[in-house]
Amino acid sequence: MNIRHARPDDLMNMQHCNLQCLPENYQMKYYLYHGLSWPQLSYVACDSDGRVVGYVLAKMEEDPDDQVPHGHITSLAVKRSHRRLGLARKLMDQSARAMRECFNAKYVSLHVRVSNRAALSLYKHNLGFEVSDIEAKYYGDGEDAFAMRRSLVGFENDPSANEEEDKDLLNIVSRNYLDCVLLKTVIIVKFRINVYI
Amino acid sequence: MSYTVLTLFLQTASSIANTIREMIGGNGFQFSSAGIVLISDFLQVEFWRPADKSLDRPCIISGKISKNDIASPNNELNDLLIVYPLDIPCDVFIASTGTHLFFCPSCVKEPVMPPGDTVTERRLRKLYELIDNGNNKPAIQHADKLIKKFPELIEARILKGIALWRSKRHDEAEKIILPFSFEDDLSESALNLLTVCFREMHHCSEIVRIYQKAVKKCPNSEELNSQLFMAHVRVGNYVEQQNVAFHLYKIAPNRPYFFWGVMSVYLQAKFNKKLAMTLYLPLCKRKLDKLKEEKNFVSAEEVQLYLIVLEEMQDFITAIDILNGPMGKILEDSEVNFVIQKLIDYNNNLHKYDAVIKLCKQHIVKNVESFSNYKTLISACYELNEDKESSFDDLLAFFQSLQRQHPRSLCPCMGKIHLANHYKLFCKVPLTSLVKEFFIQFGDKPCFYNFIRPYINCFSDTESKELLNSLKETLTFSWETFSGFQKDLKLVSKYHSIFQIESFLVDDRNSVVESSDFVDNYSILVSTAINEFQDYPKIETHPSEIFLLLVVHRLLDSYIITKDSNYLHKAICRLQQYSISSTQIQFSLLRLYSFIGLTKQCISIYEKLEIKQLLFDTLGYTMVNYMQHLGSFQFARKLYDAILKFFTISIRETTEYIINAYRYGTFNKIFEIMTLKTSLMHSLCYNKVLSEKLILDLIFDTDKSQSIFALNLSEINLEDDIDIEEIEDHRDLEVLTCWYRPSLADWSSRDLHLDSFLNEKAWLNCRFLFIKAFIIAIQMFTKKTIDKNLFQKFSSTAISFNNSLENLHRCSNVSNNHPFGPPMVPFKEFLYISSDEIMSNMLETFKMLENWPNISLEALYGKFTASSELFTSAFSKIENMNLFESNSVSSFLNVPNFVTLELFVEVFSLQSSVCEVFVVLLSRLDSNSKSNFCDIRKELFQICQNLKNLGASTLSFLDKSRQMVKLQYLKLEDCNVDVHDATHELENLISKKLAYLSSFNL
Repeated sequence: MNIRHARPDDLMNMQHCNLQCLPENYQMKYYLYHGLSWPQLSYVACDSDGRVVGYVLAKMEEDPDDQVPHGHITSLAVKRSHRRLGLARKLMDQSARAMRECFNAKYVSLHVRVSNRAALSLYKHNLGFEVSDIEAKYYGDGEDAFAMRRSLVGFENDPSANEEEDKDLLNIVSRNYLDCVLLKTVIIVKFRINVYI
Repeated sequence: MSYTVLTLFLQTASSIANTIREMIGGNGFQFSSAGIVLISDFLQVEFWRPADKSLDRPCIISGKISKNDIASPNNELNDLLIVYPLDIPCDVFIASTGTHLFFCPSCVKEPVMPPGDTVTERRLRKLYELIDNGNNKPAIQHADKLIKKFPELIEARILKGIALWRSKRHDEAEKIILPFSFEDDLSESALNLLTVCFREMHHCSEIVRIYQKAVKKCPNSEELNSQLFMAHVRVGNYVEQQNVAFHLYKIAPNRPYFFWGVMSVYLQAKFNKKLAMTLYLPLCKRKLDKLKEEKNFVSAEEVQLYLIVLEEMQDFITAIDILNGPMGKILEDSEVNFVIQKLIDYNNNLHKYDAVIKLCKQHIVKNVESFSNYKTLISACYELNEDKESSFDDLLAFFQSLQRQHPRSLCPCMGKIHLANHYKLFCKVPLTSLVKEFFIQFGDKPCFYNFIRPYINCFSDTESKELLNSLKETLTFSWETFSGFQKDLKLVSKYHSIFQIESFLVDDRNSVVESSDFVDNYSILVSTAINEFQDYPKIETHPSEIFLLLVVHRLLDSYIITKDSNYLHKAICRLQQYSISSTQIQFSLLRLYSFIGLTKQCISIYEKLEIKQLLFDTLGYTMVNYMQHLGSFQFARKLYDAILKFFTISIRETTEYIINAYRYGTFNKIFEIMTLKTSLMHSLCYNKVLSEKLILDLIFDTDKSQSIFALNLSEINLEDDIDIEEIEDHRDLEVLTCWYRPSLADWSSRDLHLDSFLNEKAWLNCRFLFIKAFIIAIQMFTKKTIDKNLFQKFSSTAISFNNSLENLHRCSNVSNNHPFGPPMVPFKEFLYISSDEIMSNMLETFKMLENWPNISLEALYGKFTASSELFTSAFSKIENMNLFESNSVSSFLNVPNFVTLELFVEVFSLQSSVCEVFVVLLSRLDSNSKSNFCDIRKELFQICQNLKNLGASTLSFLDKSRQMVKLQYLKLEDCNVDVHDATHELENLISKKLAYLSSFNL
């Protein structure tokens, strides 16, 4: 199983990972917004034949309320056929490491449906996330979300706490999706730019 | 007072530290990893003042830069370094430079507000706000007021054009906007607004034109030249991009312009293979070599561009030197394992297997899960070592040591199986024992079966039985009574693996038909698993699902062998009765419903599955191939519109991503996005829907007795042909889990997917060429005189169409009758009623009109007679068909027969449009020459009459078909289906065509 950076031509297969687990059907610009703005943060997991079987779509919070630089996991999915291999954890760790190294993120956040007990348990017990808040009616269908956080301070020294299996599908959808689909065609890219005026 | 402002957008501590260190000549600062923390923690912006007289060394001043800091003459700033971390308001730049010379990420808005608080801006502010908020109608009214008051205010007129365009008043908008292309004296804000406007109107070449004019007036304007560069990017003119970029580099020697130029040359190489190796790539390399000598590479993207060029030139030796040198260090932070992975690839290309082995082992030890490197390592060892046996032993020992260190990792175990398979002749360990070992450790993982399948594919019957027995021995399960789950998920997962392997390896399908044991036993397993795992999480695959799917597959096998549709009926019932929600089940039902022609059920499931956006490309085929041919025309049109909208918007958007990638120097992304764009443009789904939609439009838009000449047929680009060889197959034909062993099962003995793709391409080519020729013909006759060029184009397209038919005949022999196999392409049905000859005849009839009205009446008579005969013969074949299948349990629509009828109605509709062309031409002839008028009208009347008779007979045939099976609707007993009368829309269409034919004045 290989983990590598997501590329634009992975989009179709990334969306396919959602087919059997997430109810979301993202627009192309949504993937590209993440992939081009923070290309260091999104990863795909490939099987032995190179087919995409899981992905993590992540970003840096653009305007954090608490003024603390932090990352956000927008979407994470692993195909049912490739569960219980620890892929979700590996994807999350790679993304978190990049958040820390490239953007000096202090923590990473995510949202999860309050009904998704399995995912909640995975975040809490396997990935070191803690519930920081409950956001009422966060999802389009009116369900509440747990806002969760995982500290990344010192993460680069101890990136992988354990090698336990992922117990479940991770089912995360960010409210920022709604903001993203409203974005006009211009995509913001904030990295590695050398412009002399 | 002038400033040199360097703006850096960097993300890593080391790259910021390196750059700043270079800038200040290594004086005074020690930037470490902590340095970046300091910067982003304390400062929003820092600026460095090397000439600050109050300090004896360069310093960093904390705090946000204010307008006063920069503008104050007392500061005596010569150079200003702004480190731009993440979130800084952009007003500081406006203050310092007066305008954004470059894209500022914090203030991206469309349309761009002109900077500065000028009189013009104040006047336009409200108008901008109205447009930005989507209040187009008030915006138009407000613009009119402004134009009346300030006639010289060009921006107001352009904004009015934008508002009109966004209100869908396209003609009015174009009338206002297009003349600006010829204006010579446009302000910067007018140019910006026109860019936005032309982009929305898809007139990107006009953007080039306006900026070319502007640059002609101010050839040394950096801003205008950079805008001109982007305009060339939009239209993909790489030569002009190169010229402008290097001109920009001359007038403002900034690094990005240099790389824009190099990238533009590289792109010419990509699209001109002839000159790539001799001209373009060496030119790129020379320029980059020079930069390398000057040690002037700063960012990872720049180095990556260098590597891309070297890869294209296959100069892997230089590429390896770069990765091993100081430039390799720049890349280290860019992507995890980028450098080592590239080193492995380059050495592999150079056949330096010893280096590959060393690097792979080094990488695997650090990343035990990188399975692709296991494969590379095994191949490299095999190639390098002549003593295969000792090489095998070494690798086995290596994988075993990895296994001991990482007992929970699958890859060392998988590596051993791959090794044994690769070293077949020299393998000392039987593959079956390695598979067994893998099964004991990881047989409960859902991916076990998928991984193992290619390795056991070539197992003989004896090996298969030996493997299955050895796997079964490891479990305590009663194979006679099928009991013993004991709510143990790991155990049930292992059963899944064994059952799947058994279904794959053991070819007992023929015997299963006689005995229903398999179905009964597995049905017991389904209910046992449902009972034992009642609280199973909904988002996981329920343990019972695989058992159910195995049952369904077995029933379908029985159907394939016996052709008894009762098995189909049973399979549908089992799927419908399954109480757990699952995508696999829904997909299975979708495929079965389309197989038996239940369109209403298909639509209902399709909507539940939410196949849209990106999924159109991969899964759209599940509906696109059926709806139209099953007579669900309204839904087909809706579906085609949604698919075309997705593709056209996505293809257009990619251009903006490419522009942004240029702006930010992410060169590797440029090519990746271009690849994505090409892949969307060449998608089978997109091109198929494009041609089918045109055919449907042509058929339906004339059903209200509307003249064919009044149709908007501009959607098709008549200049371009679909290059059928470029078409890409993105369909996911493996979305349904299947257990058929390619080497054994008859229906999958060929490479079905490839065959299906070839069929699709042949069908697409034929349909596209026909519709293109047909539309050219209509455009040709819209004018009073026949344009020779257009006629030439028509003739060559008609010839290509005839050639494409030959290919279609070759493909027609390939067929697949499995409900879960690749979707149908209706060759047989098409050829059965001679649709090919009918279509050919239509085009030949048009071709005769080159010298209209002086045509050979005899020849025309021949064409009309041939047409009548072809239609009559086609209908007589249809008359002998049964539209409905009937048996003791269920009545299905006979899909192939129904599709044949649909294709007949299609050509029937097209022929009535051909008749209309003649009716219109005759009406023109009436006023000019009377020579052939009466004879032609007589012939035309005859053929229209014949068509009308056939239409009426088709309606009566549909009615009779239903009466014969004494069913108004399809009926599936025991199944929960809300059946749809498949013939309804077909009847409507025929009736409308009859009215259309009757409206001709003959």
